[in-house]
Amino acid sequence: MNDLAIPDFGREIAALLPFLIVAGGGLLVMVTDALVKTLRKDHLSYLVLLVLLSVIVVQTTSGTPEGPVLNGLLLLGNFSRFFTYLFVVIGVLTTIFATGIFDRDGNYRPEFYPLLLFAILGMMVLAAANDLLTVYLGLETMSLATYVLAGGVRGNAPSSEAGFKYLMLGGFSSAFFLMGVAFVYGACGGTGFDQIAAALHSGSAPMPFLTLGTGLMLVGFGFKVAMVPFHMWTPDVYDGAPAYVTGFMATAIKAAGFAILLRFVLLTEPMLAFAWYPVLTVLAVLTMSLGNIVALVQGNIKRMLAWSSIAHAGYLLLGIVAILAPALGGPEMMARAKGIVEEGGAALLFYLVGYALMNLAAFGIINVMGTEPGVDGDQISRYAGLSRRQPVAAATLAVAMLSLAGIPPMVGFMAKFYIFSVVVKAGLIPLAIIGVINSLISVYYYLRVIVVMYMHDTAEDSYQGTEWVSVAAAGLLAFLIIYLGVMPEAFHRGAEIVFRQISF
Amino acid sequence: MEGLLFWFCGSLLLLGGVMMVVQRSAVVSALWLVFAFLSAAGIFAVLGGTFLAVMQVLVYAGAIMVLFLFVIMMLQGPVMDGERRLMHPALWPLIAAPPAAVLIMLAGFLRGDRMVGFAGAPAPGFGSVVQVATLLLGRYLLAFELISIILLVALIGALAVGRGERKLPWK
Repeated sequence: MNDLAIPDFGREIAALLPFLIVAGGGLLVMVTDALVKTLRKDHLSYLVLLVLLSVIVVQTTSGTPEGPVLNGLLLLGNFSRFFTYLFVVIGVLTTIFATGIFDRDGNYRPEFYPLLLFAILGMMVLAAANDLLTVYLGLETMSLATYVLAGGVRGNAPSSEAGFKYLMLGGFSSAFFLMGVAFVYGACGGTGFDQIAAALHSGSAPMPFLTLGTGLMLVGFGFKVAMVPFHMWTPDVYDGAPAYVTGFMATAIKAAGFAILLRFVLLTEPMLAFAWYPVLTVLAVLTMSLGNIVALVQGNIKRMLAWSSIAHAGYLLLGIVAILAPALGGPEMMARAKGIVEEGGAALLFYLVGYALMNLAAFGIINVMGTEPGVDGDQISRYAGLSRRQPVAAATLAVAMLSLAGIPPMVGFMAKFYIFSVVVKAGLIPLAIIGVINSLISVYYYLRVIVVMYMHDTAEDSYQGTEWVSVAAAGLLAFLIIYLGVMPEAFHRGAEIVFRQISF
Repeated sequence: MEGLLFWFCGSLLLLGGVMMVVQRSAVVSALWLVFAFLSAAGIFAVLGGTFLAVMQVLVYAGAIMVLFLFVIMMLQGPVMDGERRLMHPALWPLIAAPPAAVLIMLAGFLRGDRMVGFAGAPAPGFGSVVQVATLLLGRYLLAFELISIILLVALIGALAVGRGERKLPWK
């Protein structure tokens, strides 16, 4: 039974250490909550933070081995490490925001912490996946945990609706995805990314099954990243879920979804670029435009941000379209192809980080605006006069909104700038114009929030909160938004190095 | 011969799936799902995956569906029009016949009567317990472990949704 032996066990364990810490940490938090009765429940959050910080420390110091591990089920390297950092940082902030609310309301959700850690584990697996099997399992770990997180506020109908809707539609989309995996497996004779790549290069895979399979998989990915026309769940779920969960979903799930979509598109590009390109172009334009136009009329800030998150998925798709464009172009295009692919990838990674910063800052503030337990202060009118009562919170939200609108010197501007400049370099000027028009439209609804906060009279039930930890954390994010907006170069170059490593 | 058996089981599976979706009564739906699972077991058997076929019958058609039926019957919603008619006892043998055929065929496989050849003549030991176990604990070890995490998440989720909110002890 030689098949059972894992070659070089020590190396594999060292490589998997970040994954093991998160998984073990989830179990530890769960058991601690159940067994240690004397513990103050908010101490669980310190345990979670400890787990997440130790992932960062281990990953930074240990110099994780690179390349495929565990028989090629995972591919570790700069790409997976980059996303692990991103997910862990999002996890830390979500823990801080959630704990602030639990403390304030006196209600705590013991299942929150282990589920958060398991969701992060699923995302880490997804970003490192090198086999369709691992992709699916990572996707399911992440999704199952977030279904419960979204629907977990009891006695709150919108939250239950959000959880149930997300569960039903998510289950449906994962059935589509699985069906697609089955077709791709049938066409390529294997689920491993290297097997798929080999089958594609040799041209032995039958085209109809391949296109059908990848199309069905696109439904699954599209659902996770809230891409039109698979976006229907987004406003209701983002609105119904508590704000700390919405912030987590909007940033981490989108990043994980785009990480794997990017890798899968690059993997299948040699043979399927002709199919991906028109489909993704149309979807990108639809996603941007619909998201921005519907966001214009929202009076509820969480719904507005949900539609805005759909719009941002559209901008991110533009980056993928730009990466695909050279594969279809003439010989003159092929010469520039490598540069465009690298720049496009780097722009996407930069955008995902910038988007995570600004969305978390916004949801961090929305999170503390609630008046009664389980209900978020989500009507924009409630933010009237916030600048006079809570200058720090108002300034933070203002920075986040300006950044989402793409106004310099915020990180949102640089992120859009990188994406649009790659799109132009790829020769897709009309797409770039549509993108710019869309971001101009979006300025209106983002600025409206700022106008309400700074120029309207104070509302009767305006925010009086004292959750200074959450506000301080969001304020730190606002600082980072400006910092990365002013000095993006070093980070952008880092993203380029990260992306260069994934090669097919 | 195996081609014929494959198409036979495959069309039964499709029938089961379609019937499950179009039924108005949850109990009848669940019974059609059992039917579909048994047909799937037949397909596994035709392909030579005897262990999988047995597990499909034991775990899916057996354990999981029994649980399903228990839950549906305990939660018993309103009886809809036509439910009684569809459950008419005269229909039962009709529903039961094809799965019975599949089961008899399966039993034949397990006794080792090679009355039909396996599709594509697999290697000796193909689909055996040893081979499945070697894959699960060897090449797919990570997937195997991840599934345990998924089940744990589902368990926590079910518990969390199913019980009330607790107050912080110090508030």
